[in-house]
Amino acid sequence: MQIFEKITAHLENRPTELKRLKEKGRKVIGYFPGDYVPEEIIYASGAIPVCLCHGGNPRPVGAALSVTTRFICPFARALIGDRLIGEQPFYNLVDMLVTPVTCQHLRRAADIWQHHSGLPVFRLGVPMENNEQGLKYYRDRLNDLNNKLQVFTGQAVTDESLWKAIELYNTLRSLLKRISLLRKNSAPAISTIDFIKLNHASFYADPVFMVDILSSLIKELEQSVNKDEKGDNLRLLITGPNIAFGDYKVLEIANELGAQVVAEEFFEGVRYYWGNVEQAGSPVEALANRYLANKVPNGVMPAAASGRYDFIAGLVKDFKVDGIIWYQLLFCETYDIESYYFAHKMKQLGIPVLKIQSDYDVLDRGSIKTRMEAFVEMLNKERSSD
Amino acid sequence: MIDKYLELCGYKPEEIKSQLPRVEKAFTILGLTDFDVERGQERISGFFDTNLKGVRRILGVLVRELVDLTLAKEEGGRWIYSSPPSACADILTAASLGNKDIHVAFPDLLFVLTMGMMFDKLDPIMEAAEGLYLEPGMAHCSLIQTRLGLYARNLIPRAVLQVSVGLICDENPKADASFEEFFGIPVQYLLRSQDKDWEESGRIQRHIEFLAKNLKRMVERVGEAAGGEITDDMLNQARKMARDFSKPMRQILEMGVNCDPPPISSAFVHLMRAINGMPLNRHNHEIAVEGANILCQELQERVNKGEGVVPKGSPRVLHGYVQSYVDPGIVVALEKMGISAPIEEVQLYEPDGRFSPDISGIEDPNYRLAAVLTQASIFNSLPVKSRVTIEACRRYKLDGCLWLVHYSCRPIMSDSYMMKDIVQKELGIPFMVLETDVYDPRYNRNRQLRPQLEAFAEMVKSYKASLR
Repeated sequence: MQIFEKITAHLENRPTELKRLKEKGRKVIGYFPGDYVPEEIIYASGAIPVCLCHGGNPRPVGAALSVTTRFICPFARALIGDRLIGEQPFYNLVDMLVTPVTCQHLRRAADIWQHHSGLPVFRLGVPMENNEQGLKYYRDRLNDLNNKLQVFTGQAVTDESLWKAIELYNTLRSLLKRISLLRKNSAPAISTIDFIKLNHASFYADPVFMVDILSSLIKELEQSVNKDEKGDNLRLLITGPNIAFGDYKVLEIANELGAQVVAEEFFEGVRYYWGNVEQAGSPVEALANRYLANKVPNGVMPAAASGRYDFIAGLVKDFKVDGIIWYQLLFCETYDIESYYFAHKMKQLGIPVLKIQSDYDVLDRGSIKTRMEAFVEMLNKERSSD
Repeated sequence: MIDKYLELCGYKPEEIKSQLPRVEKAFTILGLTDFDVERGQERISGFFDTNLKGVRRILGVLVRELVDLTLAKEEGGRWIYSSPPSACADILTAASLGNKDIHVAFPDLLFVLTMGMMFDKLDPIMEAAEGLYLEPGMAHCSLIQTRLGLYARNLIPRAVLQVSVGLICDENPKADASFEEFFGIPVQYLLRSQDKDWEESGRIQRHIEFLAKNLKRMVERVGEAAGGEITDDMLNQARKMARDFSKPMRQILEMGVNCDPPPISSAFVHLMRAINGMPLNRHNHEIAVEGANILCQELQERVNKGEGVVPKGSPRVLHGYVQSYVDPGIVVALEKMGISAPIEEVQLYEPDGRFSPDISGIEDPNYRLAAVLTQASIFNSLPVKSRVTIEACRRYKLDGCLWLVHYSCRPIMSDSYMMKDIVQKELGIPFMVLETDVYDPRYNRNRQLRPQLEAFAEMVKSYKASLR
C-alpha cells in the first residue's frame, strides 16, 4: 500500500520539518501518553503537539537505570532513557513537556526529564475519581495549561481556535475509528499491527497530513473489504496499559501463530479514538468531558474496573473475539492488580485470558511465544470442539 | 512463657492475670509458639530499651491491639479499617466514640509491627497474599500484601468499610478496589492530585480545596458505615485523644533532636510515631498515653544526667524517608556505630524542614488537615522535597543522610537518586541510598545491610572530623 510508504516518509522527514518550524518560532510541546492531555489545546496555541510514546527497545530502558531504580515500568524507563541518550530525534526537539499525573511512573519520568534537562514541565493533575469535584479540578487544570501555553507561545488561544482544533482532531479520531471498525469483518481489511502503527503515526505526524492520508486509506480499505469472505483465523483482543511505538513483539508473534488480533484496548488504540469532543458549550468544558468524564477509564484509577469490563466485553462481542491477551509491563502495579480480577470476570463470561508481561527485553520473546502458542492451541481446540 | 512476655510489654500483674487467657487464645490463632514468644522477647529487648517502664507500657499497647483484632471474629463488633498514611485516623477514632459496636484499626501496619517486628512471623501472611494475586516479582508493596494476606488467611473480620488513602501512591487505592471486588468490602477513597509544579510550594489552594472536600465526604461516609453521624464534637474529642499521646511524644522527639546525646534510640521514637498514626481502641489509647507520659519523665532524668544512646558529640544524620517498621535493628546498629538518626524525612514540612506546617488562619478542620497533608515533604515534588531536606540538614546541623527506600514504593524510591544528587551538590555531605523493604521481614535483615551501614558510618565520621 503506497499510503503506508507515504506515512513512513512523512515520519522520517518530520523531525527536519519540526526543526524548520522551530526556527520560525513555533514551539514543540511533547506530552506523555494516557489520553488525558488534549492535543487540541496545544494545537490551538500555535504549538506543535508530539505524543512521546516510543518503547520496546531495551537500550534506553537500561540507560534509565543510571538515574532511577529498576522498579519503574519499562515504558517510563524508556521515556527517561531516550531523553538521556539523546538519539530519539522527536524527544530532542521538545521545548516543553506536559505530563498527565496518572501514575507514579510517568510522574517520576517527568521529574527526571526536568531535573536532567531543565525543560519546563507542566503537570496536569488527573483526579482518580470520575465525579463532579474531579471534573471541576481537571477543567481548572486545563485552563491553567491553556494559560501557560499562551504565555509560552505568545499566541492567544481563543474559543474559535480551540473549536477549530477540536474539529480537526475529531475528524482524525473519527477516521481512525472507521478504519478500526473494518476489523469487525471476518476477513479484516487491515491488520491490527498496521492499524496500531497508523495510530502511533498520528501522534507524531502533522494532523492535517494524517486526516488527508487516512481519508485516502479508508476509501481504499472500504473498497477492498469483501463481506462475503470468511476468515477462519482465531480472533484475539489485546488489552493492557499501553503499547508503545515500536513495541510490536506480541502482535508479531500472534501473526506468526496464525491468530489475528482484531481489536486493541490501549491508550494507543481504542481509548484514543473511540470518543469525540462534543461540539457544544465552552470548548474547555467540552474537552474536560471528553478526556475525563465520558471515556473508558484508565486502569490506574481505583474504581475503573467495572466500566472497563463492560466496555471490553462489548468489544469482545462486536469484534467476535475468541480470547484476550492481557499485555502489561513489568512493575506496573495497578494493572497487575486489575489483571487478576479482570481474568476472573472474563472467565465468568466464558472468555479465556492470557496474561503476558514484558520488560522490553529481547530475551523474553521466546517465552512469550511459547505461552502464546499454548494459548492459541487451547483456543483452537475449544473452537473445533464447538 | 507468655506471662513473661506480657511482663516485658508492661502488663501489670493484675492485667496479666485477667488478660492471659485472651492472649493465649489469640496467640494460638496466630500460630505463635513458645519458641516464637521467646524469640519475640529477645527481639524487642534487642531493639528497644526495655529497662524503661514507658517503653514497656507502649509496647504492650501493640500486643493488646493485636489480641483485640485477632479475637474480633469471636468477640463480635463491626470494624472499619484504614492504612498508612494516617490521614483519616481521627475520623475513624471519632466513629468508634459514637458507637461501642464500632472498632477501628490499621490491621496491616499493626500486624507488621507485631507479627513482623516483634515476632518475625509475618512470612505466612505475606505468602498467602502472594499465593492469591499479589505475586512476588512484581514489586508489590508489602504493606498491601499484608492486608491481602490477612484476608486470605481469614485472620481478621471483614470490614464494614475500608478507608483507602491514595495521597501518595496508586497501589493502595487500587488494591482496596480489588478487595471490594473479591471480598465485598466497601471502600471510600481519599485521593488527591500530585500535580504540584516545581515552582510551586507552600499552601496550594487547589490542592487544599480538593482534599478538604474529599475529607468532608469521608467523614460522612464513615459516619454512614458506623451507623450514625460523626459530629464535630466527636471529631474534636478524637483529635484531643490524639493530642494526649502526641504531646509527650513530641517532647520525646524534641529531646532526641535537641539533646546531646539523645536519651533514647530513634527506633523507639519511630515506633511511637507509628502508634500515633493509628487509631487505637479507647482503653489501649489510655495505656499509650500513660506510657508516653512515664517515658517522658524517665528520659528527662536521663537528659539531666547526660546519658544517651551514643557518645556526646557524635555525628547525626537525617533518616529518609522513613525507618524500617519491621527491623528497628537497622537504626540500633547505626547507633552502636556511634551515629544517631534523630529525624526522619516523613516528619518534615515545607518550606525549611520544620516539624509543623503552616496552618495559620485556617479555621475549618478539614481544610486544616488538608493544609497539613499537602505541605508534608514526602507528599511533594522533588524540588520541594530536596529543598526541605537541605534546609533540615542545615537547621538541625546534620552530618549526612541515610536514605532507606522501600523498594516497592514507586513515589519514594524512584526519586531517591535524584535527591542524593541534589543534596550532595548543595551540601557535600555523605548521602547513602539503601534499597530495602520496610514492611517485609524476608527482605529486611539489618545484618545484610551492615557492610553498607559501616561504610556510611565511616563516611559520616570522616566528614564530621573534616569540619573540625
